[in-house]
Amino acid sequence: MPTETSRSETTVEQTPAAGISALRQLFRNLRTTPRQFRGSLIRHGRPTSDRAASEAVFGNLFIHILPTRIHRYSLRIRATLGLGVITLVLFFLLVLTGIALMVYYKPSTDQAYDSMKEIWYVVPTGRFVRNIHRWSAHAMVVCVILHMARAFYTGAYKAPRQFNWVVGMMLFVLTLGLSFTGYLLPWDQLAYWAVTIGSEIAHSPREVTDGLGVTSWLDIGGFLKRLLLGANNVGQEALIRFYVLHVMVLPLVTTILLAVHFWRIRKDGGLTRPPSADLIPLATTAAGPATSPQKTYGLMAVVRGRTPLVDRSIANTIPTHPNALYAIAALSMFTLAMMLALGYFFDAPLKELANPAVPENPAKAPWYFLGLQELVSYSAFTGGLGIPALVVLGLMLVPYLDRETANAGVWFDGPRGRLVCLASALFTVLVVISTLIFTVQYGWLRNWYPQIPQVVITLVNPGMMFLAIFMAWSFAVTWLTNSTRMGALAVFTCFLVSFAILTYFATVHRGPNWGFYWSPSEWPTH
Amino acid sequence: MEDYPVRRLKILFLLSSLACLALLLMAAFEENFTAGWRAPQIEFAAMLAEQAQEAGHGDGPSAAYPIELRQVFLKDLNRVDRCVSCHTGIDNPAFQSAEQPLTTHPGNLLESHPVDRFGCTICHEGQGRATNKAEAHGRVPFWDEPLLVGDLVQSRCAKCHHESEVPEAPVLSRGQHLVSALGCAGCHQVGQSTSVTKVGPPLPVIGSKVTRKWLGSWLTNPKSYLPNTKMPRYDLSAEAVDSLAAYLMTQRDSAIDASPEPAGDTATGTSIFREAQCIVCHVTKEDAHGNPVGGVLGPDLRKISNKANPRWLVAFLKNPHAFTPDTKMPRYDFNDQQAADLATFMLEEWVDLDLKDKEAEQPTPPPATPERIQQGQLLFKELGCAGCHDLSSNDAKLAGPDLVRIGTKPVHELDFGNTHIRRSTPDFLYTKLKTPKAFRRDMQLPTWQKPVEAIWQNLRPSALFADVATLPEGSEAQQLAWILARAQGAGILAADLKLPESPPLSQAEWLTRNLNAIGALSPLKMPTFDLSDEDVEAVTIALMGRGEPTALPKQYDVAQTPTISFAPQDSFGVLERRYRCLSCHSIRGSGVRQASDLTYEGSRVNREWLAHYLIMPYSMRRTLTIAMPIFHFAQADSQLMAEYMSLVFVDTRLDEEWQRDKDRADVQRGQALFDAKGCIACHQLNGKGGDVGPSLTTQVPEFPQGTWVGDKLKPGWIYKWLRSPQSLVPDTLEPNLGLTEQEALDVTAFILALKNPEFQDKK
Repeated sequence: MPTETSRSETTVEQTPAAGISALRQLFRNLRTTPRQFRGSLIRHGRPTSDRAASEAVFGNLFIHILPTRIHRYSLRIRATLGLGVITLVLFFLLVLTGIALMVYYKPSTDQAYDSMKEIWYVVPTGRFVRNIHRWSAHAMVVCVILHMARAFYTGAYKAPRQFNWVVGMMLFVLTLGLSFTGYLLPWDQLAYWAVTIGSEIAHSPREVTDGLGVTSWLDIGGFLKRLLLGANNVGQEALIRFYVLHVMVLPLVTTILLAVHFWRIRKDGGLTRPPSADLIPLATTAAGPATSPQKTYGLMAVVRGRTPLVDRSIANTIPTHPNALYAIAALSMFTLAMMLALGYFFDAPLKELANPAVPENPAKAPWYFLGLQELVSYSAFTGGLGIPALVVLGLMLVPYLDRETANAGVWFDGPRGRLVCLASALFTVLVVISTLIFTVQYGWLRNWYPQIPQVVITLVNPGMMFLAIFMAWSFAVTWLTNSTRMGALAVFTCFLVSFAILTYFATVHRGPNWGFYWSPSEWPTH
Repeated sequence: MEDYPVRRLKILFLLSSLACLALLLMAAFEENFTAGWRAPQIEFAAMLAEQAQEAGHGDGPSAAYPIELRQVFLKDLNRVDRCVSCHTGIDNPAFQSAEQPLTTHPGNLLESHPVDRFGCTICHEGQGRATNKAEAHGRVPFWDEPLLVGDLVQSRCAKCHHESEVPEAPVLSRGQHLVSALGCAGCHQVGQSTSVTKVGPPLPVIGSKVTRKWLGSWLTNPKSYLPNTKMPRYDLSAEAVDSLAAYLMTQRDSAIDASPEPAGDTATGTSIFREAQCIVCHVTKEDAHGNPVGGVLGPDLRKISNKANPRWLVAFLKNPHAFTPDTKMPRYDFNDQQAADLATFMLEEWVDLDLKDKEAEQPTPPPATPERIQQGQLLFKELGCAGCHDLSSNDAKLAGPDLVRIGTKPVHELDFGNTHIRRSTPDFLYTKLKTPKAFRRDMQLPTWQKPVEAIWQNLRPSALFADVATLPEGSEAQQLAWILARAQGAGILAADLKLPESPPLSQAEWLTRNLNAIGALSPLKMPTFDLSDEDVEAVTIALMGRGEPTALPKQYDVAQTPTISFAPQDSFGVLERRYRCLSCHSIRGSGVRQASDLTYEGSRVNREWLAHYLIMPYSMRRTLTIAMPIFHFAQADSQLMAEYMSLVFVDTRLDEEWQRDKDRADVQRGQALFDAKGCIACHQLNGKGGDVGPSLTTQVPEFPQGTWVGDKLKPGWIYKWLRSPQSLVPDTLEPNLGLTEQEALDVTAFILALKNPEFQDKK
């Protein structure tokens, strides 16, 4: 085991000993090369002091994304639930399995499905790797959403972390984009019809421009659809586009934004934490720990931003090595094990070969878009583009509208916030479920007034209604509690709960022709 | 540092790592050792080695049988069939006794369909790319073409073999025959051809032909009158039967109605019936076991008196071709008295008294009002009757769906109704053919639409009244009452049903329930054919063979042998069509092989004999009482036919072969050979001998002038027949005795000498 002593030994051997011929020295060098190589690779042994641990972190390109010391609170499970790390591990896993799949996958409409079957049946462990890829993709979407909720409910978007929240929103959209573009590649019925729905949503601005009578010179819908598919229908052009987006453009952008995301965590003072996390007040740092890292006070002084140590006692931090490293390693390995188990025991579905002549009924989008598809069933533009655009924009704006910094890092902003969240959740359940019952029972505008103009249908979508009600609810909460933070918590809870309900409803209770059924076993087998 | 649980994290890390390692090892193990095709291949290799040892090769080439994934790649089909990974012995004849999956392919089909050219899934379906049993056999979700088992495989022969008769696929061939015989094309598009051969009789004078009571019971259930009729059962309500019968009874011929009731002599009628050999085509009695006796070309006559109008029968007997232009029945040219005699005999002889009593018990049908007749006409159209029966006023719109590609139709496009059968096309077809109403689905009342409109719209597809375009004005209750009245009028609701006094919505629910109860809202119109299980299976297989024409590349298509259709021309043609020779005889592939084939009749028999035989036909075998009917041909007609046949229906090679060696024959030697070979065991000679073959010296009491074989046959034919009987008539029982040329010539000379002195005198 290399230790401090081995380092000094290395130094001695660097000069040829007197009285030994260069040839003998060469053989001696050859014999000691393995040890030399290890020494040059790792450069130091197991750190025995905080200082050596800091150096170990700081001296490694990959680990030095972490600070040398990390706040005690940030390593607690309740601080992050580990969701960011899990998401990152899933992303790496997706990149690795994706590269493996790329070797065998052929992005052509004639061969794509056959190559999927070959991966499934003939490529060594191909089915296993594909399963891992598919399940990791779904898991990543789940983790991203949970990570976003965690960040919101702990107030992690608050100053100085506003922009990182915006970056996070972009990564959220990119994750959905990555998953959706991957959806088409198997070229099975599921892929074909899910993407056909997607392209119809891209086409949906047409219903607005048609309603305004300006389509002839401003055809946004037609343009978007053509941009997405490269043709009028899902076909070879669309497949290549989705392939390029899936394997190159989106991963590249995601990687860059991930780097920004992590960089900003460091620059914005580490993970958010409640004021109470600082057990040892600043005043007591006069004595200070003996192993104050030498680097921290170097560049940090001239670079704008915060470090975990500014205004804080270093006594609240613990060395990254080994604490954070083991936490991350254990979590990563655990995530990996989960994904391997999923991939080993459950096969990712591969439906029949895509057949443009035989529509799936019901043709359902990927599960994370099903909530939107429920809204799309009333009007495509509002449900497919209007609502998601407004929601994403609205969420991005939150840090700039709610600037209260008190209680940042506290889950749900304390007891009052917990109450607001609970009330908002109940309110949303009430609003969404009663609306769904109403529409299932009595239909919507088009059923009552078949002649109504499309613009009205577009505007008066249940989704728009939800949006208006939730905004009003949020304003009411803000006014009642006299706190923008409470309003933000209210509106985010509304968003999250309605997303969950709509997703569940569209997954379980929607059947052929988007009709209502209590369970898929009731679907007419037509 | 101590307050952070690094130790616990280390344990988690260790456990997770071990889990990952285990999973990866499991995946690797599965990949390399447990693949389903390994075990069969190892067993196969062992069997190969064993066989090689038995054959004395020691450990020859078979010892090197590598265990690996095997496949057949068909470039022109873009198919990869890995079936051979488990079915390793499929084209190795030495594995006939091995168990599945190692066994040899049964039959010798692989000789004409080598595996490396056809693969497996092109005939058997399944998922060729898959490498485990369940998925390769395709009985998994998201694979629409599972392995075809049993006779179903034959349906795939039709992918390339487009003729209706595929010898290697007997069930498919039978199904193809049934599809055309049952008249499926009357309602469905079943092939490329758009012309329909209507399998039922034309109905323009049905009103004059049958009695009203018979028609009623026939329409209710045709099989109660004639158990083996082709006509299916429609399960019509009594209302509908009355409407349809009322309409059909209006199709009359005034000349027949005006003709006198026949009053002939039964005894004369009996002898006419026997002379005309009616029993060759018609069933007239049962044997001891109750099985019908008689021919099947014409209808069963046993209950004719219950059905036919006597005036029509006389008219029909005089000239059947005027009523049914393409009937197989010859025109006998009976005069009025003969026809009346025959009709009287038939109507007295064949009457089912039980049925008559039963009919008498039935209530008198309601009067045929103009409305009823019009409803009957609409029903005739709606049920697709015109698909099988010609009735001038009706268009022949196909009543059923297109079946040209039914075999490759995706399963989810089939409506299985509320049944719980397996979701597969063969199961669907089988059930549909067995119980056509099985997939009936009750209409549901949409909640959001106005109930009255909903019922109206769902009623319309099968509604029997097409002339009303819009709903009448008025309240919902009025509209409901109106719809109810129309439904009753169309015969799909009992006439005495009355709407309950309740709000319109519950009235609509009530109406829906009742319409559903009788299936009136169901668009399924297909009648019940009451086929046997074997027939249903055969038809299912024939239908499964109808698929996408582009499914296979052109080079796989088997050239269709052009169908021979020989129709004699000129004066002989006129006579042929009058007497329908081809209903019993075949000529150059046309016609029926019920009686002898006439293609080379001119080379077979002497012209004089033929002319004589046509006027007075007789049976060639003592035990066979059925013979050609006596048509009472005019002298000129029989001469013309004999002359035409001896000039046209010839094979000149037969004569040439004989001419060459004519003079070297010896009657004595021939007779010796005739005795030595034991010909007498099968053939009659001067009243002695067996009854298997035809008599050589026919002596029938009624026909003392009967001819002998020497009078009848030509020497070239006899010679060739003796050398190789099967070359002339492939399915004859005559054994090939392997006579030498000289022996055959001698026997020919002997047979030629067998001439009836009486016949010779007459000539």
